[in-house]
Amino acid sequence: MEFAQYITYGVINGSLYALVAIGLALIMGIMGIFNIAQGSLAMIAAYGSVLFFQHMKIDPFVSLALTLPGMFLVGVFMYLTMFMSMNKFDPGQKLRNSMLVSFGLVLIMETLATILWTANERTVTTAYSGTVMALGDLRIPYTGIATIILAIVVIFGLHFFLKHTTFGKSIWAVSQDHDCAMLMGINVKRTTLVAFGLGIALSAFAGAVVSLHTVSPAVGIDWTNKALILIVLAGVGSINGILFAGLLLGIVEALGVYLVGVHYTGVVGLLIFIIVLMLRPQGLFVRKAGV
Amino acid sequence: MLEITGIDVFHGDLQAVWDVSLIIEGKGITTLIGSNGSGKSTVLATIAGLLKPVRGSISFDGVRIDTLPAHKIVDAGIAMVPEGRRLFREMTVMDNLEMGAITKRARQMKNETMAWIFDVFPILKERARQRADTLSGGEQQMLAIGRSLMSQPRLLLVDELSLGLAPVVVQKISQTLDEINKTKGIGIFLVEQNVVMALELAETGHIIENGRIVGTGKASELLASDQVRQAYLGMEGE
Repeated sequence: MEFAQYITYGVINGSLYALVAIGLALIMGIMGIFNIAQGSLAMIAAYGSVLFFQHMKIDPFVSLALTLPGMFLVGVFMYLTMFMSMNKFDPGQKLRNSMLVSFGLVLIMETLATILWTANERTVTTAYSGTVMALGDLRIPYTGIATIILAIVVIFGLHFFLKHTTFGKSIWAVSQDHDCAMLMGINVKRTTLVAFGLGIALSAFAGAVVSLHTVSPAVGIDWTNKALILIVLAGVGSINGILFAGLLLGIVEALGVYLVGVHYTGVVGLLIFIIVLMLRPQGLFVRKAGV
Repeated sequence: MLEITGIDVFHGDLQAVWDVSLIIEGKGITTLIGSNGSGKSTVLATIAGLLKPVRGSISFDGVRIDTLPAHKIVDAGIAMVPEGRRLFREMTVMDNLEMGAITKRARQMKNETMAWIFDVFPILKERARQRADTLSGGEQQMLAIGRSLMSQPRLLLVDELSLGLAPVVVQKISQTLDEINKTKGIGIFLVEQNVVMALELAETGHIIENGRIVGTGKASELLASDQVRQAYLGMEGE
């Protein structure tokens, strides 16, 4: 049964990876902006959850009602001040510039978090932290179950929003043909602003879950690393693929821990990253190359 | 009525349109003909708001529109069928049509307009749930026209209707445009390299060369004129 226990943790971790990556995938797939700071934003959102819990005893899943709109506003501010002006560049230039700017943001946010909240690890300890559901010998933490459900709801919800609502479809239309979307009467400026804000707001979901584990200023870039592996696995532009890529990475990592030990977790992740890049560079869940 | 008064338009540092003035009657079919690079598509893009004139003004039914962003011009009643169709390739036929009806006014009438477009182009109804990039060239042009009509325009701008299409398909689609114009009273402003087709369809024609209007007249007279015969029809015969 020990093996199944490892896989369970893999699935839980994978769901969390997917929650971190989904905002990055949305912003990259829809707008061609490469936001390396996504993990760091999840870190900031996680501190938000920690502070709401410490000072007001608000559960991290409840304080989403505050951290989601908060992160949306952060996204709106970031877009207006830093990323909107990049629209005049060609796609390659836009990708490189956004990568550089967001890398600067990673450094700023990490330093800021260290100054504000010290480098110590923090965590939210709720009444249900550490409680588990027993399935035979299998132990599943309730926080883990919440993580899996949240990942499924958020990612399939986002997919549904983009493919089946008028506003979602107009975001998708702008991503396919910016000028033509204007000719259809779509307010492209407002649509891209909201789409970017939405992509950043999604980091609040990851933040809520991260706050139940451990938060420190340095975790941001680690989460981004996982998110980047997921995007390569899923393929740029794939939304549902992110969830499957997350589960794949989580399970492969868990197998790595089971077979070769906990020190090689990172290596196993990067190994499948390289293998996928070599054999299927367009990603596992995208039918043809390119967006 | 669309009134263009003395516009100068630039692509970056390069001036593409020089002091162009045109009056396009609201109810008819008007065409602007010219060779490749003559500035005719630039005029169209400027009306639609994708480019802004450096000098001059454009007004539609008395309202100045050259200062409006492109999406507001759609709201004001002008829709454009872009050159090369520019469909949302990954979306279905139906979703493409839905994107055409994004303004508040158009959205309220979405279902009626779509039923009318399926009536005009029955093939689109058959293909409603197919992805746009699985359609043939002619079907794609029909979808592009249908999508722009979804916004309930009073004036439809059409950029290079005939581009890349077989003559028989072009003829069929231009007949449909004529019907739409006659039955719905939607004005059409067509920009074309296919001079014969354009002048046969339109009532009024304008000729543009090197960014300047060099001729205006009744389409049938232009078609018979030496100016057009030598400059365009002679060239086509080579």
